[in-house]
Amino acid sequence: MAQIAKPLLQLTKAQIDAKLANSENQWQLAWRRLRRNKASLISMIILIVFLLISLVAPLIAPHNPLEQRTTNFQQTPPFWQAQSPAGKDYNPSFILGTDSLGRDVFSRIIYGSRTSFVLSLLPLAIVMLIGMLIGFTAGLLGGKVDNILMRITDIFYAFPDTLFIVLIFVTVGNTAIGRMANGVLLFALSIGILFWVGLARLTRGQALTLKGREFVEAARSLGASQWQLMWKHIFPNSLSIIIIWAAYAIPSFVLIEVTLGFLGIGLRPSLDPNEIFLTSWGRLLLDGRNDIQSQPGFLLGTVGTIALYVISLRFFADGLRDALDPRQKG
Amino acid sequence: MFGFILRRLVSTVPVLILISLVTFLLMHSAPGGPWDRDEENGKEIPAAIKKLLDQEFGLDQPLWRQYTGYVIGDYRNADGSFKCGAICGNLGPSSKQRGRYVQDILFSTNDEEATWLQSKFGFSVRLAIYALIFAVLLGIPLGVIASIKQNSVIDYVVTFCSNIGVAVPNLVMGVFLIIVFGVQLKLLPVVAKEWNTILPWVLPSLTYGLGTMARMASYTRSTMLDVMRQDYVRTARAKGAAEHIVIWKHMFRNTLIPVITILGPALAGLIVSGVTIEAMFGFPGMGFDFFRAISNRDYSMIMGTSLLFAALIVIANMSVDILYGLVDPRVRVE
Repeated sequence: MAQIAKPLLQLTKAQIDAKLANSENQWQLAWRRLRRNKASLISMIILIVFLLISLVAPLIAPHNPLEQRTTNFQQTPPFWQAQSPAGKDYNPSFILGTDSLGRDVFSRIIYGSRTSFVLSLLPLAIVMLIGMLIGFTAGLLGGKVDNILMRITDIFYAFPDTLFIVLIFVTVGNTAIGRMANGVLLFALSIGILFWVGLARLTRGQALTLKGREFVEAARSLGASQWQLMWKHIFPNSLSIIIIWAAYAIPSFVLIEVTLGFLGIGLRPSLDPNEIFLTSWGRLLLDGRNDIQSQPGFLLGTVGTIALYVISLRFFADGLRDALDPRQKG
Repeated sequence: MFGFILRRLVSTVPVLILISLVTFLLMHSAPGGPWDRDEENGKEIPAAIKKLLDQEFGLDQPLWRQYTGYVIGDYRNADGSFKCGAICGNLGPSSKQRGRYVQDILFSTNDEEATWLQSKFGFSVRLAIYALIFAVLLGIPLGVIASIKQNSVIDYVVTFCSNIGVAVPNLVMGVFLIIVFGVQLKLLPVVAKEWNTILPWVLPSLTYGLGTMARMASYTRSTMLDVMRQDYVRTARAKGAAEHIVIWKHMFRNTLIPVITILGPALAGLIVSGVTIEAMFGFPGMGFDFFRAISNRDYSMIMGTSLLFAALIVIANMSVDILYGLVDPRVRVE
């Protein structure tokens, strides 16, 4: 120990600064580990592609997703079946065919990715806000506050969440809030109200552990307020664990939308081309299920997209976990 | 042990009360009531008849009285005598299926000879049990094999498949299975009309159990790998125990403890995901009934079914806690 410490002590301040500037901080290190993991790198690229697609959907979509064609215009994908039963050639520009109203499936899936992307991030913001507020408050203040907050958390934990989101949508879905952004807002809110429990428990545990550590004790003895302790010491040191939790939570938000849409109670169907959230993957899944015998390409395309998105999210989360917290590696 | 079980039982009461209260409030905040439209002719019901119906079903009472009347009971019989509520198992009359009580719809059938297994509730329970059996019987052995043959081809296949299985939602998996086995190969029915034979049960139970199975397999594998490096396993080997005894008696038994903990969430997840699975396969269970009741605004049906769902989830979590207490004595002390 003495041998190492001595040369360090002999360094001038400028030399120490230079050494520190060269060394990697926690995030640079994590980024390097993440890049080395091929599965998560690939899934990250896929997710970026999904983001780009949802941003510039009107430029990419080959057809207008709302344009309906004559009632009998339902075609299977050209690669699946080249000709209709009547012997007519299928139009190759409908890559995944059309639905029963003659709308292009591929364009609709592209527009649906917008909804799914927003629904991955917006609920997360609400969940983080509530969860961290409750968790950190309970862990930091302790005592009675902790006890009361944790009892509430226990009760919310036992709530059957999907069931309640179904109830919320059926009951409040037709009000002004429910209509906003075709129901995306209500969706984010209801997830936010129900899903903060896991994060609250996690952050409370973190606050309790970190509270006893020397550097927090030192800060407190120097007169740091609770607020400073939380923002300067406890929050930055829990950040990587919170990020890992968030990465694993996102796929479940997307899947709840898919589930609700499949039950026919998710987003409101839209006919206005100026709206951002025209359709959602859950809705497409329901339509595809109804056309399963005549147009399997519809369902397969939707399901394949959902699977690709969710698997990418999961693998990215795995990579993130291994990069940020190698001890958790499974 | 008795005190432990009692404590767990008592702690479920506030949860159930709160769930029923929230369900009740949400339901009544919904615009529109059960008499809004008559399905057959689309005509509106006259106001006088609406009032009579409200009286008949107790909807003219103040909200708090409706709630307590539903949960505990109220003096609402024709002769003014006390009528017991949900705590006696009376889930109230259905407002859409006139003349039938919710508990009759869920727990009994029109057929005189059929047992409760043929009821909506029985169907759902059977499906969940089949799925769980499938998940446990296949998931745990796969995890054990993968861990014993770590870094072999079998291990890689199992790990990869379970990763995919955890990531792919069972809704999506169900669609794939329907397209492959139902539409393309025509081996199994897409929408079954009869549920008496075994064939129509295969796809729903597979879909239902696949995610749980994958989670079981990967969790068993990582726990086994943990246990494998413990000292007592080395001791067992050193004293010359046969390999299968080391694996099954020393390693597998200790693996089971953590594996049981994920059984609770798995069971609860199975119960809730039943709604979608049943909708997809046209399965005659209570999940699908719950969904239909919501769009019909059938108040007591929604209330009854969601209470039942919540109770099932709470019981599932509790029984796993108790099971855990039986397997691992350290838990009981807390």
